[in-house]
Amino acid sequence: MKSKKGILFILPGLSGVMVFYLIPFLDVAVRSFQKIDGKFCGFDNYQKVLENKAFHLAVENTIYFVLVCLPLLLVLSLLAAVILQRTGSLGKLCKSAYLIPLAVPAAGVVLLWKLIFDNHGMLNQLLLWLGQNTVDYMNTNASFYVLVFSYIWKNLGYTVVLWSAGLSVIPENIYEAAWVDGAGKLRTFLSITLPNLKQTAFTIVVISFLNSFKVFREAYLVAGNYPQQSIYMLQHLFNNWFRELDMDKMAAAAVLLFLVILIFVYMLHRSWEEEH
Amino acid sequence: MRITRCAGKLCKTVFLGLCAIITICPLLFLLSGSFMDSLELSELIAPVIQGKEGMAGWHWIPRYPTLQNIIELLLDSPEFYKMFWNSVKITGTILIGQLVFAMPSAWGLARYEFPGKKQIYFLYIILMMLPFQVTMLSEYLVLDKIQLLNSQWSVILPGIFSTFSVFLMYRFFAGIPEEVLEAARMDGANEWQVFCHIGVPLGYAGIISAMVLQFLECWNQIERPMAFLKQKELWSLALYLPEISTEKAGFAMAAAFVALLPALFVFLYGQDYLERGITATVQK
Amino acid sequence: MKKRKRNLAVLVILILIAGLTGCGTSSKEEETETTVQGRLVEEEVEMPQGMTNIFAMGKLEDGSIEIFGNDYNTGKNYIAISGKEGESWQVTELEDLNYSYISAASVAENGSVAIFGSFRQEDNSAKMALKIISPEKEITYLNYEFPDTDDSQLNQNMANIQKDLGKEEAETQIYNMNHGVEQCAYDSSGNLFIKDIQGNIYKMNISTGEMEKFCGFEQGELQYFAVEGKRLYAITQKGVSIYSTEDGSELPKDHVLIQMIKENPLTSWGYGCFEIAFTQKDDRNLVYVNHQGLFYHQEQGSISEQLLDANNSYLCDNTISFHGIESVGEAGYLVGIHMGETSKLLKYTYDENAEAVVKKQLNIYALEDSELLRQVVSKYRIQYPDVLVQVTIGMDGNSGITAEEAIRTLNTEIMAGKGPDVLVLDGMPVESYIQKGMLVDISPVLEKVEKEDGLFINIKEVYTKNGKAYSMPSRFLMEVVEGEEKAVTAASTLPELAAYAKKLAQGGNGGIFPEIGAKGILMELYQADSVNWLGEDGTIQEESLKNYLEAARTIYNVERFSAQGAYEEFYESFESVCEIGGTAQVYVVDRLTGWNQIAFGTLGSVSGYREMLSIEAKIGGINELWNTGEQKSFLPYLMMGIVSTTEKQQEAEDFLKIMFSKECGEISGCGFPVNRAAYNSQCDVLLSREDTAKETTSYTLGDGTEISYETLKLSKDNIKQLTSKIESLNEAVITDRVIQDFVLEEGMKYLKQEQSLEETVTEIMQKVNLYLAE
Repeated sequence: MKSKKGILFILPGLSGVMVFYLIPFLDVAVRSFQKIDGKFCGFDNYQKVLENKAFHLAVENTIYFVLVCLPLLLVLSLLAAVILQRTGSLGKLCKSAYLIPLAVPAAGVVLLWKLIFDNHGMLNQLLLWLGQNTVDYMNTNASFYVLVFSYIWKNLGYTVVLWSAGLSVIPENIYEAAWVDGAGKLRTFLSITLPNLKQTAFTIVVISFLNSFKVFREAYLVAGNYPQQSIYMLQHLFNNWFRELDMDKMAAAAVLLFLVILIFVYMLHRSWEEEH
Repeated sequence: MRITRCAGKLCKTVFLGLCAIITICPLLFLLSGSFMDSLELSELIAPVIQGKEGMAGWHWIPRYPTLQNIIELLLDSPEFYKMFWNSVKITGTILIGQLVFAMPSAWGLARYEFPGKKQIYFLYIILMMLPFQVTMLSEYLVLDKIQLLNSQWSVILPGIFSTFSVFLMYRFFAGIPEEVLEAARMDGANEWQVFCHIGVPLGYAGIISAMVLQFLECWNQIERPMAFLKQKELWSLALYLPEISTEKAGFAMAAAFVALLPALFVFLYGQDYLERGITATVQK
Repeated sequence: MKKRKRNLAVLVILILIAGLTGCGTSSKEEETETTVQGRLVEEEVEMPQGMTNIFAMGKLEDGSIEIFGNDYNTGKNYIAISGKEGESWQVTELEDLNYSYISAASVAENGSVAIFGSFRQEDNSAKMALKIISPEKEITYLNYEFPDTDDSQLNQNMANIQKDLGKEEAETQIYNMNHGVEQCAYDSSGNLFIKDIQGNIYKMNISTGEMEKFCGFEQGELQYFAVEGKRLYAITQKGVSIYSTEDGSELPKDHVLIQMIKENPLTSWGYGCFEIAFTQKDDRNLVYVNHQGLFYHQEQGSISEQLLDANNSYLCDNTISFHGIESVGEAGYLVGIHMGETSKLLKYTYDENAEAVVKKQLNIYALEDSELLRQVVSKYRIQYPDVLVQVTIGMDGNSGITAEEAIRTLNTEIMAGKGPDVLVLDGMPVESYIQKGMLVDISPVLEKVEKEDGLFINIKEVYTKNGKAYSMPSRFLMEVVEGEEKAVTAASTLPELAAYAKKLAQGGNGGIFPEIGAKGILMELYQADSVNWLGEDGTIQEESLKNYLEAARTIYNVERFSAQGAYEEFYESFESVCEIGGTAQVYVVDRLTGWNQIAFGTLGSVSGYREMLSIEAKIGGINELWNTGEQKSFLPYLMMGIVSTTEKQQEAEDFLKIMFSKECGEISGCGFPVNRAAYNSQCDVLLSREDTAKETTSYTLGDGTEISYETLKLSKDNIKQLTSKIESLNEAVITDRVIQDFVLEEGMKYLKQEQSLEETVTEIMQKVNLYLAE
């Protein structure tokens, strides 16, 4: 509905967002053009950040991580959601189980991860038992996949639930019509299920993207501020900059991150809108 | 044909079951660890935590079950209680605040067209994605200005205005068919009434799912309380879970387990709503 | 569906109530800032005539205070009774007490005193016994017997000792071992409560001497108990249990008290004085004193009310302990404290006109707590009573906050201009702080100290760049190596040392190095070697790192043949420099006992140096600063800095002056003081110890042989040598915690053969380069 009344609904929330999120962010943006002592220095900070090797590494790793995780999570969870569709109480039980990882406090996850993925951990014990060589998961490139695993592990349930919500909205009679027309399972899935999940998919992609940043907490708690090179993420860098009081670099990097996310979300949104 | 169907079914079951086992594992792990005595635990995890020789292992059923950890936690740890209630307070207030502020925001964004709407929507999405470290210092300065530092409001207010739930509810509110609202307006309802009597009941699923996820977010948050609350008496539960040393591992696991329980209940309760779509509700 | 909704509504309402009732309490802190007129005022009052030490104090039925004590110098014993306000003492000298030591004593409400101790008998033997001094000052023995405990451990001990000694002698020894009395206290009905070494509490009927077990704890769990009125407070590491003295039942837990004990755990317990003391107003109202101040607490109350803040009073001094606290007059308290070698009496009276103090506040921040820092703070408090000192410890041990997180919060506060004024920089990113202009030039302070007392210039030089010094340690340690001349010469480079060790190992002469485990070896070698690692471009040279790792591995392997890992745990939990301060002197002793042939470790005191020389005098050998290159390195400790955003520059500088002063440098503890005068006086004390008889230290080995050495009297030459060693120091070891952590962490894997040398070096270099690239 075209009406300015909408603003009234937004205003109270928006003012809070301004105070607690927008103003701090603008402050960061201002800082990105200043030295640590508050003197204006133009784009110096940006230049420093863009030339910084650690920044390059962190950006590469983060992008790679998102590129691997996001599709994997989307496919796996959609698969699970479709399978779970129209299964009765057993399916419900499964969905409940998938949600548990989200509730486990970080401290518990960390202990468990150490127990499993440590050099002396249970996974290596299993390998030994099978007569294989052990792998030092946290200190080789394998750590990247440990991180991918924990991301999927943590977010699977929640994504399955969101898909299920999307699936349940698709009217049953469309499927029936398709079956009557003699369409196979795969065909109904491609031509009916997928198109109808578009709106849901947008939400899921955005949220999963958001959550890919949050996996940092576990990575940090398990492997510390300087983990194996392949899981050195942007947030590790931010964290370390914070410790060394490199606020100027951090501010510039934050603004860059803001722009990247902006472009990403905008493109995503555009591609969705266009097809509509 | 029949064999392939059977095999397909088997594959499905194995896939789902495997996922379920992997996800449920940590719960059992914390549960069994809570009932182990320190000797057994340290024997099992010492190779990992202290770098002792040998391999780590686990007993899913404690060899010498003991209630000591649970008793120590529930009876002898007043600070655990204190922080548990702090968490309840903080989380509860945030959730209520979200109902008051985020719900109308989502409605306004989803159902009305006005200049700047899209920009605001994008802004919300991006703000929710920025990592906390980035804005921590600036947020600290703002909170300092309005004198909220070192009070629980410094954690609560940013939580209330978190844009995540606006984003989530938006999707659900946007899915309500316009005709339903038009019909109500025809009957003479004003915009506020439309929101309260049509929007909220129909978007119930979205609201609940946003609340459930927000609950988890607040319940497990570490960074903000640690940065803004100096006094330990104000801390929330996630900060209490002590560093896991071998002697105290059982205690830590018991604490983690108890901390996990409320979240679990909220899940089980909210799950039905989580996966209920809009139209499903409309059709009823 | 309907029902579900209702449930949900109930849930929401519950959360609402919980939320709303709670959030209001968060502004509690501000309330205390309102100015209130009137407060408790501290004054030191004279001890009763002739008395220097307090054994026990108590309040009598008529409200007067009785103290049992002695004169430390003459050994005369006294009982003193005060007037109603705790003044005008009447002192009676006690004769014929004849004890060789007193282990516990208590004053009853009727004025009699119970004394447990070892008493000299007519035949000149000593006997553990209980003497009672009646209100009329008559002294009698009271026979008592512990009720039988069927402790199998006890019987086992008994059997073992009986083998060595005669039965009778064994019995007394066992008895003393198991039933030595550590503490006793009267309740208001005149029953005596006794704590034995085992940590059990017994109740004694004072007219018959009959005893019954009152309550038991696991061995070592009970630390202290207090009896006030009809309550017994038993303090353990976990908190407080409260019992009724009448029927022995345990009363409901008092969570506020438990929390208080957890936050202020008792760390030491001497004879008759503890880090906390209780008194009662009546059964339900309690007053206690600890290092935080004086508190009023109502049983089961939700909070303890602070009557007096310990800041800037004697109470804040962590080295004092309390004999007792008793209320006197209307709202006053008399506290007996033990300070140094003597006791003091402090009186607290309510002064209506004293304005509530609004003081300047000086904030000091350190990542880790240290006894030395606390002592310096209390010295500052006494010298500058108008400044309120607040010490914040970033990692206080029981909250699981990592250094990283603590520093992040600290940085935020500094950037927001709300940070501390003085920083103890140990473990912090000092270089970044200096680069970012977070620290103030403290060279004026250092100059003043230098003019007054002198500083070790060479140490100061290390921290002075372009005439400015932004940080400076107040103490330092150095790495030394000790052993036969050949060994010490070999140790001048790591590869040579490794080769030498290998040769020794082939000879098979038992232990070669101190048994300090992988981490210990990496640590000590790092301190000796790391100073040479940095190339001209500020990065680490791979070659040096390789040499270091290889040597560490050889030493570790050589040691592993004999290693019992005697000191391994010591390094496992290593946190701060000082935990391993003075390791050299420990390992030198082991050289004497034949555990190892080469000793290395940190040296941080003149007396440690003396021990080393004493042992060398007996078995030969030389010692040398252990540095494997040109640079002579030292380990800084208690590194001080002033934050540039401070508004209390003057106060902060005053604090630093005290930190660097002669007085604080003289406090014995970890490290040599940088203050020259303090160092000299430490030397002088040892030089002038002519009068004391020759001290011998002896150790009994596992096989029963005894090894002893005579403590050497230091000569001026010895001191000169030490001083010249100190003066040759010209660089600090790489104190960057990040780099040190990389090396130790990856090095451990190499030593334990989990990864190859190349892998380890690449891994470390990668991380270091990443760190430097940030």
